Amino acid sequence: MNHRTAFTAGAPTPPSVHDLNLVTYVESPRSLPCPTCGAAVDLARVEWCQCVTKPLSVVCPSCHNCSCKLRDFPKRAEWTCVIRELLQGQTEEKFRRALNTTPTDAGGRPTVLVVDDDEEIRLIAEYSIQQMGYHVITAAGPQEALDLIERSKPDIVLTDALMPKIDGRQLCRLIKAANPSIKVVIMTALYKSPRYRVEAMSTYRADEYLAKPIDFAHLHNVLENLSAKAAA
Amino acid sequence: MNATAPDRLLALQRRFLDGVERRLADMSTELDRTADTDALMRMFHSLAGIGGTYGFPRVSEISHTCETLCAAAMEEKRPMRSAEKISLHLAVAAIRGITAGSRTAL
Repeated sequence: MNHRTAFTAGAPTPPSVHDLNLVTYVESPRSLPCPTCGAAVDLARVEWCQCVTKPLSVVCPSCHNCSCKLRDFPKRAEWTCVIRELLQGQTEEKFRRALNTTPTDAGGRPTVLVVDDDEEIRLIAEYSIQQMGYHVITAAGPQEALDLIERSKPDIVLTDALMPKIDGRQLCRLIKAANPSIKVVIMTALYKSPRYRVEAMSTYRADEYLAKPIDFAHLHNVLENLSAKAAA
Repeated sequence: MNATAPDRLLALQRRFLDGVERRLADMSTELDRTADTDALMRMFHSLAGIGGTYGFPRVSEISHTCETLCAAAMEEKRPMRSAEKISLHLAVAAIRGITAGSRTAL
């Protein structure tokens, strides 16, 4: 089996259960080959790299490549979780979902998709929401967001209102039409009047409507509330 | 090689401050060139949303005021007046002062 498929960006082909050497994963150090140099990387020693444009990147201890190709490197806890489920007789379909999507971390935290055409906002939002304990994925625009939603099924979408082509409110409507269970938060620096908030929540079915600049303490409360609702 | 969470935040803030410098340079160029109200409004709007998010609320406040000024000119379908251009130049200078001080501190 080529474990490298787990690292590649886009939609990797998941390894089959039949290809997975469970003994290796369960009894030896949890390691996977670095996609750059091929050296085995111990999942327990995965560290953040300084590549701030991809805060989830890790460093290969062998080639020291802070490659963003390693972005999808699964956490040890995630692998352990997958393996435990396999040993408990879970289906291959579930295994595929666990690899193809990154719905929760080991603590069962939801995934938040941040959609903003401004990279500065995406970066600080990704960092801050990760610090709150959530798994975060980002999209630079509505179309990329829709593709990611299809692939990763996030629990909460945090989207800017003003974006080219499809604005955040229209994106919210599209998301809700296809995935009613996904919670959507619209952020805006422009439409701050209460009537826009009412419109976003009634007409476009947004679950929350926040003003920019982002107040992360408030956002934390909002995400906690929405997570609780999603779990209920 | 590896960065802790505070290091990452610091790196993000530095990156933001570098980016602001570029944005301010673009604003000054636009003001000196055609002073297109739509372009300027978008630039200030973007900075208004980002500044406070990165912990610089004053940057957001100033930018929001500038955005409103540009929006008013757009609403009235008129070019930017000289006095307004001067105000915007002063605002850009004020933001530059705030961010330059912070960059030194970081």
